[in-house]
Amino acid sequence: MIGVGKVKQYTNVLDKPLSKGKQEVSLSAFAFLFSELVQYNQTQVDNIAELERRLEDAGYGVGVRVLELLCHRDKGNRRETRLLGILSFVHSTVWKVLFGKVADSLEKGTEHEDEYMISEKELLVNRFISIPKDMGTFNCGAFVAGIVRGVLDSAGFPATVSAHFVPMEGQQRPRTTILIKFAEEDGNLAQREREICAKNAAFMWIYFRRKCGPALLSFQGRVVLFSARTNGLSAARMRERDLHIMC
Amino acid sequence: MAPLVQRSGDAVFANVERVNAELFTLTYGAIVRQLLTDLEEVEEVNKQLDQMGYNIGIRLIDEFLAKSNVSRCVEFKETAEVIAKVGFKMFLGVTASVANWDADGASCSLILEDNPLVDFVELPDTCQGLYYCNILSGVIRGALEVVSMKTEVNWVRDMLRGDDAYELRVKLLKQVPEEYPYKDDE
Repeated sequence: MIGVGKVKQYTNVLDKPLSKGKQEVSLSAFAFLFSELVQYNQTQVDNIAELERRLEDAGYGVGVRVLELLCHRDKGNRRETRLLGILSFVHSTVWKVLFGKVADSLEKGTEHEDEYMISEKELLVNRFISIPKDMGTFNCGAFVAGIVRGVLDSAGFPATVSAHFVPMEGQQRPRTTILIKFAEEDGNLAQREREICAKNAAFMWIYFRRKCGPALLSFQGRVVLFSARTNGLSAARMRERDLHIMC
Repeated sequence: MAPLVQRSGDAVFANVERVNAELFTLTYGAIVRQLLTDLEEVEEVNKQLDQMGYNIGIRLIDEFLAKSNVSRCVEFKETAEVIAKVGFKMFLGVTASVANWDADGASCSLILEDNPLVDFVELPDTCQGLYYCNILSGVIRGALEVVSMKTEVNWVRDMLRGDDAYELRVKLLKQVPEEYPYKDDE
């Protein structure tokens, strides 16, 4: 029977109100659960690479859902279309929600155009994990790499993401780096970014030509660049008002 | 007795380190999804979840006893109260209630209104026999076994199947006396 009892019955999980995301569980509960995940996967594989892949696949599912949840709840259903936008979303918002703090750093790779790195002194998932020597470079942060890959993939930025230990001088435990390598089929990502910029500029140009007329041709160059940077039509309208006063 | 136990549960939860419940929920969902893909049979998944819960329970009890400072329970009624008010609160951040005691006090129900494992979850038609939160029954069984109580834990009500709350039936089978792992005369 629906509606009987203290708690209101929802037939469909989508009708339930979305929680605010403030509920907490203990760190040890999560640590126990994660250790069972790793232990279960260890029984299912023969080698390290397979184990990392399985952990990453598990994280992928989490990442897809986290993006959906956060886009709806925190960003009002707006989606990121720029590379730096999605990277800083992962680095700050996703990390803050999942791990309680923003990631330690976000760096651009020096060797390749499309490589970025998110570093963390100690990943939350690795807090209570020690890797035996015979497992070599295995890192349970592959789960977090999977989460990042899930977020990027469903946001439209396909990438290969992996987790690595980077030993630091003066520190006993190495820091973890999540390496993100964007995949672009035709050319590189910078080209796509330039195209988006050009499209925005062209749109503003057409808008102004129609609204302000040929008298303002000499101002158009600066106005267009300003509007492309602010990326909002309301800013463009303000500019238009100013220009009319000047005329 | 009950409000004192409840307050100590809240106090312990305030002192432990906490993480966002959504990370926990989504990780658990990833585990169940992996199990369903690997094992395919719903009964097998139920058993595997119970086994995983058991493995967690035998280690969780140590942390529980170390951090919660509860005194030794005199009878099973007290044990059930402590699990519901302190145990659940300390790890999952929610309290359960104890009800439906049977005549000899060996069997009771733990009722959960709020369960962080099942946020955003809906059971599809292909998985109707799945006890999604079966890991909890394993945890309780494992934890109690380490403190010398053999129990049987079953699900009576499950919100994912249309009921109005989560109800676990915990039945004490026997109290195993503590065995020392070494002989006195050695």
